[in-house]
Amino acid sequence: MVAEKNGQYVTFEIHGGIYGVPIESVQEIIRYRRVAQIYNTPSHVEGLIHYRGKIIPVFSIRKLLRLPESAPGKSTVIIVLRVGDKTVGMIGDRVRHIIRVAPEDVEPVHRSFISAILKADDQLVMLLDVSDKWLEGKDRD
Amino acid sequence: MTDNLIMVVDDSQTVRTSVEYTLSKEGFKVVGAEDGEQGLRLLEELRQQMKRPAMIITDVNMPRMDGISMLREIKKNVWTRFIPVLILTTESQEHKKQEGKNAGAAGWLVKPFKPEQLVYVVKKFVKTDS
Amino acid sequence: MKKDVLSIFLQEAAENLAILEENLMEVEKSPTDRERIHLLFRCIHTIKGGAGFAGLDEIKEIAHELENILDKARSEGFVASETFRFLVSGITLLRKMLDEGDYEGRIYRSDWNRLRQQIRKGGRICRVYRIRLSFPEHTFETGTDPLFLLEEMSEKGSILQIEPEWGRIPNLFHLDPHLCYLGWNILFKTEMEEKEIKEVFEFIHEHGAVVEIERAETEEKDKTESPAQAYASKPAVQETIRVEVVKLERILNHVSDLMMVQSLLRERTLDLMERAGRDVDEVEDAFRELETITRMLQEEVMSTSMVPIGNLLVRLQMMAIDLAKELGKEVRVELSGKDTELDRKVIEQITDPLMHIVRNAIDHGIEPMEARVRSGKPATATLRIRAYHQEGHVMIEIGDDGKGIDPQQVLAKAKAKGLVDEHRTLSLQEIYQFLFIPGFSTAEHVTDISGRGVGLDVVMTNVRNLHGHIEVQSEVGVGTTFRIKLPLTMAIIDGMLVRVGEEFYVFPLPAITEFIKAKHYSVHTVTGSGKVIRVRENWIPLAALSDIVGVPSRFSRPEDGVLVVLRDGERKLAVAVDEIVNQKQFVVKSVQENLGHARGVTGATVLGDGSVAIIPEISYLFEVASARSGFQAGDSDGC
Repeated sequence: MVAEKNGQYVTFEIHGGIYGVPIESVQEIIRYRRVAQIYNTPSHVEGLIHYRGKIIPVFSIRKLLRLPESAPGKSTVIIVLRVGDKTVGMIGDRVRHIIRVAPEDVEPVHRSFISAILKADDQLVMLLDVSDKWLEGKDRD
Repeated sequence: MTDNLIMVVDDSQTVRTSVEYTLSKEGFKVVGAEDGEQGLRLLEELRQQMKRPAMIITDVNMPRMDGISMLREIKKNVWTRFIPVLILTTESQEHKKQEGKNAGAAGWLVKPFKPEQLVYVVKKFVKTDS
Repeated sequence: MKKDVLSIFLQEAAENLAILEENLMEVEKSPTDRERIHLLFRCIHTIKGGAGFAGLDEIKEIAHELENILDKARSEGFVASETFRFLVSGITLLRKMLDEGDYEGRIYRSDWNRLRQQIRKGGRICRVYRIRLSFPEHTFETGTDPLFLLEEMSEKGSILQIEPEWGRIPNLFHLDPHLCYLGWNILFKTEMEEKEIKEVFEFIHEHGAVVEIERAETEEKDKTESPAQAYASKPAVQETIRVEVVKLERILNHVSDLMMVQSLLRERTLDLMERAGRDVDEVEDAFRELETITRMLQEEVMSTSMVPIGNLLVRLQMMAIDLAKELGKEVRVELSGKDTELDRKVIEQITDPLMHIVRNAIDHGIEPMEARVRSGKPATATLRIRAYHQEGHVMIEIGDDGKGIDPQQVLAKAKAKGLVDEHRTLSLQEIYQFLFIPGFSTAEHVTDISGRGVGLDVVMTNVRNLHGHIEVQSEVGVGTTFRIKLPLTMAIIDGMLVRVGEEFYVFPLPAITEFIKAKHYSVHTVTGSGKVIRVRENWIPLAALSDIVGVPSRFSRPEDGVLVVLRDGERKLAVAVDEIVNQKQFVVKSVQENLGHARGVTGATVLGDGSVAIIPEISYLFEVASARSGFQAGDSDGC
């Protein structure tokens, strides 16, 4: 999902890096809560939580991108996303602000799970490719 | 009985031809005579060949010998008396039908008749392979 | 706009089809039930009209033909067996077309053409007559052979029974071979009208033959029906309201959440009050009342989505009859338990698996007629479909009196496929499990009918997804029965909440036989195979839940914890947990809705504090436990 026109993205921090997801797919941002561990799932699935009457999986970008692990803190959030007809959660260390992105600022990349990189306020923001395949832990290709 | 042999007796060649046409399509071999006398003679000829028609279809009104008289003769002859005889009448001749019935005709058909009707009646009395 | 018309039509058609299916089966038993025939006619008439409105010409055409048949039956006051079969085929076809969205008949065109031809060719009512024939003495003199006339009759119908009139035949001394003494009493089934029958004898009749024809009652059915019976089997008409299923689901969701919030509220309040040193009795009473009312609300709401299984059974019956006819087999279907209720969703999911099992039974299980007769079985096979409640579950049984499953054949095939060691001996149930492996089929040839991409493995998956079980019972030469056990509803289960480390799990209550403290029993370690515990007479394999789910436990050895003895069919497994928290009803929520497929998990539930507890699939626990230990959990007499 590459930026089209003037897309808006919600940005958040993970392990010092800044990541963004399209605002259309963000349902809510909630405080981190304990997840229930579930077996037979890819390692980047942290566990399950209860969200508004549904059981949803929570993903760890750290694990997905093989970043070092860290315990959740006071500012840790779960970003609830709508992907296709599924609702999922994603752990973020801290939520930042919403940015507006012009297509010319965006540089598509072919890194796993990241659809593009852009520069905003002197910082690199990595736009996450939010799709079903990503949820399964498969590469975009 | 020669199973697929049928004799038609009628002074009208049209009738004889159309009967022959209809019945030969059903697998029958048809032989014809013009009147009662000829019919009896034909029967005798066939007998000498050890053949006997499975059915006789005869008109009622014919010169020299009419159908009913022929029928009576047929019934007297031990070789032919059990051959089913179908008499062809016209609508105005109801009494002829009665006469034929009393003389022992197997069945009767009113002229003009459709080919299917003929086949239907014939099949009542003659075995076919179908 | 058009889409609305279509969906309204589909809904209406589904309802009418259901009524048609039910009442058609009843009509088979009582073919002169005028009221029912009227009902059938009205239903198909409605479908025809609706199809016209919705622009579905194919459907309309089919409905029209069926309507014609029913119209005739209506004026005759009688549904002949041929008519009945046409209706079964036609309605099954309509059902398939509507269910599969084949509104223009692309898929089912050829089926429809074939049926229509049959209807056009047949289409007349079959009647049974009692005919008395007596040929005059001079019959032979006319050149008439009575045999030819009887042959003509048998070409136009079936002579069911024929008996000669002996009275006219004189003794041999007086017998004149030129005279005809023949006469018969005949029971004759035909589409012909009386006057058409008379035509066969038109000539000889004029010669004096006696031809007496009268209508006989259909000799197979018992026509007498007491007024009480007639009242009881009146076509069912109920007061109903149409509600969108989606709406019901939302209501159900709200009620489940209400239950949860209510229990959360209770816990927090009691907690607070205790800490504040206040007396909780009164509040507890109030909460108890709240819980009772909420539970009643929940039960009522859940029962709105409970539907009697009757229609599904009838559809299975119709499919069986139709398929048997196609295969040239005769089958009699016995249904019982039509009133058994289950969740609408469960019915939706179990329909295809049951259809497949029935297809299997008719196609492979039931032998062709000659084979059956040769082995002393009745030519008409019997298929028994039963539904009933048992221990909070719905049981569905499909049994046939066919050739049964040969365990030796199955075992041989499994060995040939390398699925099992040459020298292993397996129990009967274990052998039957092979049938549920994808691609495994003991049929000599996979026919198109039952091999349409749905195998017993898919049946097993579907049943498992519904938290159910399948059991097979079979005897070679006698028959086979499939027994499916399903929870009454997917939404709520009685369960036991247990804890391992920081994680919580819920075991469905029916799977639990007991729970014990391990230290009171002897535990043995079998080298290379794992631990077993002796409970009364049996040795049961012992496993730690923490090992199976990969969560650390505070106990280092399973036998230090509490053991929950689980049951999966015949097998038992003692599972060690840290603590048994409580036992209550849990609202089951779907895990795979948002996660996708989760192996070994049937669902999850939300606890009072908002945390999630996993509901594991019991058979998965057994699988993992035995894989790790090398045991077959079930060898209960030790090795």
